[in-house]
Amino acid sequence: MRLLVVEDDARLRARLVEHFRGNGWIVDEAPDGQEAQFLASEYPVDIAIVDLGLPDVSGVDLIRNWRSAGLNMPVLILTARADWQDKVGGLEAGADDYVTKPFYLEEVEARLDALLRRVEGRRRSVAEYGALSIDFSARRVARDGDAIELTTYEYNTLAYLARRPGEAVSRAELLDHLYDRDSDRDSNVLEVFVGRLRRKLDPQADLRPIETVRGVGYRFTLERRGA
Amino acid sequence: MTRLPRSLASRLMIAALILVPVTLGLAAAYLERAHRDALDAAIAERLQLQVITLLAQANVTDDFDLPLMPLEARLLQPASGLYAMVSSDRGETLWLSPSAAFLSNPLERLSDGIPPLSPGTRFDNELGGLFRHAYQVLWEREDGSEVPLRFVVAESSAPRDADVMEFRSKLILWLAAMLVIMLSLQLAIVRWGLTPLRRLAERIQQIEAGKAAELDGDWPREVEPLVGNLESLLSGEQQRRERMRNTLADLAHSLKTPLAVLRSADLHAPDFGSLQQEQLDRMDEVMQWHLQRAVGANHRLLQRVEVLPVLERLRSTLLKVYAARDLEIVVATEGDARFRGDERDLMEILGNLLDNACKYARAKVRARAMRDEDDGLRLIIEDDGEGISPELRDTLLGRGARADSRQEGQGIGLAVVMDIVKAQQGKLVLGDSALGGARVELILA
Repeated sequence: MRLLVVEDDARLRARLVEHFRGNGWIVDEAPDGQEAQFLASEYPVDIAIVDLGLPDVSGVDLIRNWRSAGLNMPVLILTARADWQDKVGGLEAGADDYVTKPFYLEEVEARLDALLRRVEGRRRSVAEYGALSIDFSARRVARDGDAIELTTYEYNTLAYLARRPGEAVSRAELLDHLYDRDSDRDSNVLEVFVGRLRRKLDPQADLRPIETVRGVGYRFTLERRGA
Repeated sequence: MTRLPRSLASRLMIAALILVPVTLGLAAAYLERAHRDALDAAIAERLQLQVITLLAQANVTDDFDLPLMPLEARLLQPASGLYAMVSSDRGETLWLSPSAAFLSNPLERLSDGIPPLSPGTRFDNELGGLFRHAYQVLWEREDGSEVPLRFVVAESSAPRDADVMEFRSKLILWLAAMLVIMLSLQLAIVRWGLTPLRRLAERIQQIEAGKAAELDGDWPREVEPLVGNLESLLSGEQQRRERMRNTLADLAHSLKTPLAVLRSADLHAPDFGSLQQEQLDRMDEVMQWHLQRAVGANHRLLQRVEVLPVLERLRSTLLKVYAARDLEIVVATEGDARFRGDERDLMEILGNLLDNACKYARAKVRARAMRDEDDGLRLIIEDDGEGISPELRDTLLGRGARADSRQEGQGIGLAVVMDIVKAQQGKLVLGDSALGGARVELILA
């Protein structure tokens, strides 16, 4: 998941970026509205955290600009003011949820997970795909109840595909969402990851959760059960 | 465009300076005209009498004849200002009064412009400085034959003009005096009428200078609402200042305790980390509590905020926040549901109560607003959760508790609502809802 953190306080931004990168998220960061506008228009942001009190444009205006430009990713606002006028203003501009400062990083992550669940139409953080289950909050994968150890990139690849079961996802899209903008994007590396992922998830090759769509990319074949 | 003067007195005086002279001018024009018409009517009547006198003295046989001594002596006296002539229907002058002896072109001046008249009709006009009165008769001679005759009597208009001029001079003099008197009276009325406003301004200056505390005194009915609102604003400001002072004092007091705990803690103790976290949490909570309480203001100016739009905005916001729970949030207002005060306060009240209701609801939240029988605003927020037990209600309402010693389980939201409600001299009642959960009812002014 590609997360954009828009926060003018360098220390707080660094903490957020460090926390989410440490948890396997692909994180872009912007200290002001202008940079945030640029990043959101250049990179496929899956979800964003926006501080309402930015130095150049207000967080509310930034979100409004995104929405009018057709960018519909979920947005979590951070606000130091806890009054309802501000919360309502932010949510009316197009944000999806809010967290008031000071906050625990775990709370922010839980809110982001909840927003992603909402976008994907899931009620719970654990999604069942037949024998396979993915806990999107805890970033854990299990087959028939047995945990499977995955690296961050392997998990991110699986999670991205599993969030859109049955849909063909292009290699370019996967690379955009799984790699930092400074990383060396080599689609061969992606093939290696997918190969390793298949072996870990399906050592007997009897489940075939990820199939290659020729000339396009990959598709997660298992159907999600329940909500 | 010229700007209007900012002074009310100047505006009223400018209006008077325009209105009074215009009114007096029109009155003067009318009076002068009426006077002139009255003079003209009197002259016309006098001339008619002269004609009748001439008719009485006339003798018509084969020729027209008048005695040498007419009854009116002025007709004999040259340049007396009164002239007469008698002419036939062929325009032939039968008789001209001796008074016209020195009149230039007497025949033309007496007869020009008089149209043909039928017997028994008269004609009056003013021409060349003469008032003329013509009267057409059909004279029956002794032999029974009839002779058409025209009698014209004219009088100089100079005396009338002199009279009019004199009247005009007197009128102007009187009206000028009236103008001065009326404007002076108007000035006095303006000053008298605006005295309460001047007194109010002086009173406010005294309050600003700290020499007075309130706008006490008798005020005219028209100024009373303004004074009432100002009183409200002043007392609101005073309470706000007091509230801020108290909030800051409470905040300082509440923060000092965890600071003291941290300062006195052993930095090397194994549980220092958890102690630090605990005290930081406490400080954060204290700050949130005091900052949210500071939001509530309590002025009661005439501003009235419609409740429904605020409820609808909160409804869509909360549906977003609680999207994962598929809550049904119903909002409705009955009649003229308006909140007297700041929209921010209303949003704080409804936001906190609806948020609480959403937190505890199973599936449904309902918010209603209506006017009560005393013209107050009633807000009812209900949910279908587990409700609040009667024992907990007292705790939640914080009865007998100090403002900064919040009970466990009492959310900041409800406390903030209670603060605003208290500042508005309103009432908050907790009860059971027909939906099955809690019911919070607010009654505000």
